[in-house]
Amino acid sequence: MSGEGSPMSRFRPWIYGLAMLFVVLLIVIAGFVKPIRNILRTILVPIARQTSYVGSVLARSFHIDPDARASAERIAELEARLQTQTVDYVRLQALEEENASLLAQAKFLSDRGYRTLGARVISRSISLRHASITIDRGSVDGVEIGYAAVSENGLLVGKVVNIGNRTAVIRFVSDVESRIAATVVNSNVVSGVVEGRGNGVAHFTLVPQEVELAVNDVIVTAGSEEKIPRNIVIGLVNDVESKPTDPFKNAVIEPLALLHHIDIVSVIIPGPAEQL
Amino acid sequence: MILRWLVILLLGVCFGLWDSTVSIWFPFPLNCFVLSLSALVVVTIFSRREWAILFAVITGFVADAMLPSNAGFVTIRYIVIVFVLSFLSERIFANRSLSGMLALGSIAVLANRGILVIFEWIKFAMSPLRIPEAHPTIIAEIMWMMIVLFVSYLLFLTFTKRFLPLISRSSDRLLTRTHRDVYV
Repeated sequence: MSGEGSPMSRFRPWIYGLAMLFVVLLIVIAGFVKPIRNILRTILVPIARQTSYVGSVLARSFHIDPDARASAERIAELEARLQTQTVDYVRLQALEEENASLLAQAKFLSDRGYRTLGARVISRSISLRHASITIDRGSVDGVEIGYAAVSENGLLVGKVVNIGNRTAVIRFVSDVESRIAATVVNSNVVSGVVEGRGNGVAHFTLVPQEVELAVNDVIVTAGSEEKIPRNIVIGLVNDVESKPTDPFKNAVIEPLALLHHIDIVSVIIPGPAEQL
Repeated sequence: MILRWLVILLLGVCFGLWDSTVSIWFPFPLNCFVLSLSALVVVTIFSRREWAILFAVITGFVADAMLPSNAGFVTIRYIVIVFVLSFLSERIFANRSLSGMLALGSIAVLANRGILVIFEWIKFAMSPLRIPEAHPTIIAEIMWMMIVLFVSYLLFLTFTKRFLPLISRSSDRLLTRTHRDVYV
């Protein structure tokens, strides 16, 4: 029956293909995708680290025009300076705040510590509305959903939203699905929520009218989320939208962690400082 | 035969890694070049369907494992694309022309995007966790596909010394018979 030109042999490739599709669909429906993904990631993550590094180096080398390169270097230098000064400013404000606080609170703060876990970005998905990255650290490294990830300068990159054994997915602050409790620096209360708006922009919403908010104010994490410490810099206020009749005001903020330049992040793991 | 399967396997892993870990860093329009999809179309058109399906599975698994998206299901998309292209290359674009190849490539890109959108609708209706796959500009993606297919076509003509390549060998008996009739 399976001889040359028989109907069976003609349809054999289709049967194989349909069987393969059926097996894949069965794997998805039965919920075996996650274990298979984890096995594949365990095998591929060491290779992906290298290929991702190659990709980021190649991407940088595409700026071949000398003027464009000089401008880009100058912009990068200024952005780095702005980021550093913003972080320093926030640290200074936080220190002043600590000094002014009660001794008990100061003791509490000094006892509280966080350890960070360095991670390399091995993949990413950035579009106008959405931005997320895959990092080479997962649950076996102690990462959990909800942890914050910061850039090399200590700027908030985003939150862990999905996790595997060896990898985790971080959603950027500017992703339209992102929500992070935030406050104005040097404020003791939660002021509002930073909501991503896509394209590298976020809005600081649900801010009560009594909260002072001005252009160039620094927005930091509020610390009200269980796994995200306070005073991590999110961004700067670009514009404030406020009407006296509204109960809340909004602000457009510019996240300082630059999406396209992040190839290494640190995941902040809450825990006593002694565990460092 | 085993060597060929291994080559397909290795190429699948390499192309999958390229798309999910290397080209994602590139600026526009280089980031619109989906190497694995272009290679899948070339394998489907110029090679056997079994190899194309194996290539689709391997590349899809690698991309699914590495990309942040939780709704893309690249493996299923690619297998469906192999079927669609096989069917079209046998029934409609069976004249072995360059324009037929380019049409198949464009259909592959459109099918890939269409299935992706459908999967994302279904997944996001069922799950609150939304991590969509980045959608590069479709025109640029089609242009890259055209370039790859055009170059592949030229290479095929050059290295096989045949003026009229087979579009698909999936129905090889029928095509072989036609060839025999033509050349004998």
